[in-house]
Amino acid sequence: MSATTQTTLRPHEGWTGEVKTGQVLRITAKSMIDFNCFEKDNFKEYFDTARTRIYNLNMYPTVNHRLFSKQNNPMMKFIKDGFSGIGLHDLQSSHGCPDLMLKTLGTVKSMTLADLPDPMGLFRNLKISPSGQIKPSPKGPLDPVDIELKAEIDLVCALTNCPSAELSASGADCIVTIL
Amino acid sequence: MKIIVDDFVPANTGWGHSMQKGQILRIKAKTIVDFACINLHNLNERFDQARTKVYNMKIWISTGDQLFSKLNNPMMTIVEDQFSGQGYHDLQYGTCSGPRYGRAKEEGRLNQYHHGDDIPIPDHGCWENLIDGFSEWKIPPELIPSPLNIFQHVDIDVESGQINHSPNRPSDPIYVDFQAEMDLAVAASACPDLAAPNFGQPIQATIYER
Repeated sequence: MSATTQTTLRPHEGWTGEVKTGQVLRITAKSMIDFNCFEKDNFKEYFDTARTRIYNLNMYPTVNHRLFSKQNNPMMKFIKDGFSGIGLHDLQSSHGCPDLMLKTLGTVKSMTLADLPDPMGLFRNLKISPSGQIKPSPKGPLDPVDIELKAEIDLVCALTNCPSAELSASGADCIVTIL
Repeated sequence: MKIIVDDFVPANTGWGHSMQKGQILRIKAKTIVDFACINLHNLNERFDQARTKVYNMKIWISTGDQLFSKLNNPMMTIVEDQFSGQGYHDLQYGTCSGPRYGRAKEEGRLNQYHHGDDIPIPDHGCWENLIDGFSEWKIPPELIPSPLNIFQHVDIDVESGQINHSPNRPSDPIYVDFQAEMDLAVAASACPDLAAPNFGQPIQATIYER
């Protein structure tokens, strides 16, 4: 599968692009990335963390899980997770860099914080205790790894390279490829 | 106690009302109740699961914890939780709905609810009920917040992240009291609750002042 586009994001930069049905979005990174997607012609249909958790019956998105919309339709399938075995992606939190995501999305759709859907937090590695306490446990991979998401419908995807000051791998570039 | 509103809500229907800062909402039930709230004076400020979990730094909230808005403001405080010690309220699930049940049936996943594959499914659920509960304020369907799922105890393996429906419900109706931290529009759905031993039940919604 050959790359149709490839973009390098420096820390605190954002990206948005169209990903057509069947195309694969590859995110190569080692620090935190917040990710959202929307149905290309209808931003009212957006990636929803709650519907995704419940369809997959799992709090931590990974390979073979599907990303679902608020309207309960499949949007993407997680087909490769280079972070598996190292740490966990997150579906509990809101954006680490909401202003950056709003600015990034603003190139295609003006939106306010009130309407910004919660993201999938790649590499966030939020630990949860048996009593339900949330504990940030930043733990990026030593070297960049690939996350691959296959589009099940035509989408607009957006992501921010939003490293945490606590993360040992903070400040790393992220490469976004559409295959 | 001065009663402002005291409403019986039939199973698999929605309810909504306005309430003022300082007033208390009592939800009394033995079934799942999907609950959400919106700033009465700014309908763009809505209850948010993620901000609530991150503010309280926990995935299960109870007495003393606060419900937060997307704009990071406290909306309500849980002042009494009779479910504490028996089970947890949930902040993982979205709302059930006609489309959700339809997809589960098509994909052969109804056995997740512990009653087998052949249970009848409702044509609507909490999403539609909360749309109805908020109808006075005309909240678009896509902006109905993912709710606080009261009495929805869920079995979660925090290591693997696996979530399982649980039939753990109160045997008799009990209540949770929420105090408003701002003027609110509140809505609740008496969930069809397919995982409960006897499915969905009616609920009681009361707004009062001390």
